[in-house]
Amino acid sequence: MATNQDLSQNDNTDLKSEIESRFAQGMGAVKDLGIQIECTNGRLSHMHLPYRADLCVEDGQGLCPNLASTLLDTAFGLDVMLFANVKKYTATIDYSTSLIAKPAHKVGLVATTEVKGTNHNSVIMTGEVRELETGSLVLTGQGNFLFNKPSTSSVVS
Amino acid sequence: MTVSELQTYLDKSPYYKRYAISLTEENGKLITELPFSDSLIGNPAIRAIHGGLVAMGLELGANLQANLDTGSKLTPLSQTSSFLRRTKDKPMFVSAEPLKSGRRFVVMSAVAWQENREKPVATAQLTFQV
Repeated sequence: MATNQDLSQNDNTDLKSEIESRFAQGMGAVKDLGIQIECTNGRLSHMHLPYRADLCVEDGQGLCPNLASTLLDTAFGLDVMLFANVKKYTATIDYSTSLIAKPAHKVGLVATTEVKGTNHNSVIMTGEVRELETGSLVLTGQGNFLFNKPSTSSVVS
Repeated sequence: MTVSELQTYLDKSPYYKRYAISLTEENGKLITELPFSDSLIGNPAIRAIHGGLVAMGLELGANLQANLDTGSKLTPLSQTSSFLRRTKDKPMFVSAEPLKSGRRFVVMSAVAWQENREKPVATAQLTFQV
């Protein structure tokens, strides 16, 4: 069974750069929403979504609260790929979110994630979304994500 | 609100109108349709819809159904989504029903499907504050 340590020791910088690039370029939803990715040392540092008036439910309001959930799911997906060093996109099995507060007007969102553990070919993640400019907590969540186990061709140990 | 009022609300919303969401009523239940577009793609290899946008569809469908049932504006509190099948580059439909409708909270169950209603792609349980 893969463990956190086994997987995180797969330090392949080229593969991780490719994953990051494919993720940013290939996902229509990520491009459309303008989600931006920040990685440090081959792992997701944070993912943010700048404020845009066309992403609000109503004029004069903050970003749609649904976007906080979408941003967190996106961040989970990328972090699982980077964590497991797999090229193939991960699948969300389930995830739960609690909305703490709606985003304020004219502020962006930032998601941070954490790997809590791994079980065979799934990863258990937790994360949160905060307002980009103020740091106020918007949403917390956790989920289970499926990945294809690394093979010798996709991972350099 | 009526179904047509809810549709007008979606059409005027800067965020929701980008997805061209449409509402229909079927035997008193609201069906929320999310047409497929490239801006929904989460996995380009199989052109699957982004999980976060599937969850958005579930939340929106449940929220609008609860709004229709209670006549009140609802604030989402929590959502648990399960993804049952991989999605395709096809339209997605959502229907929802109340599990408990109280004075302060409404708990809804929502289901999303694509080509076959008997084969849901995702389900969710959601809690709203009235």
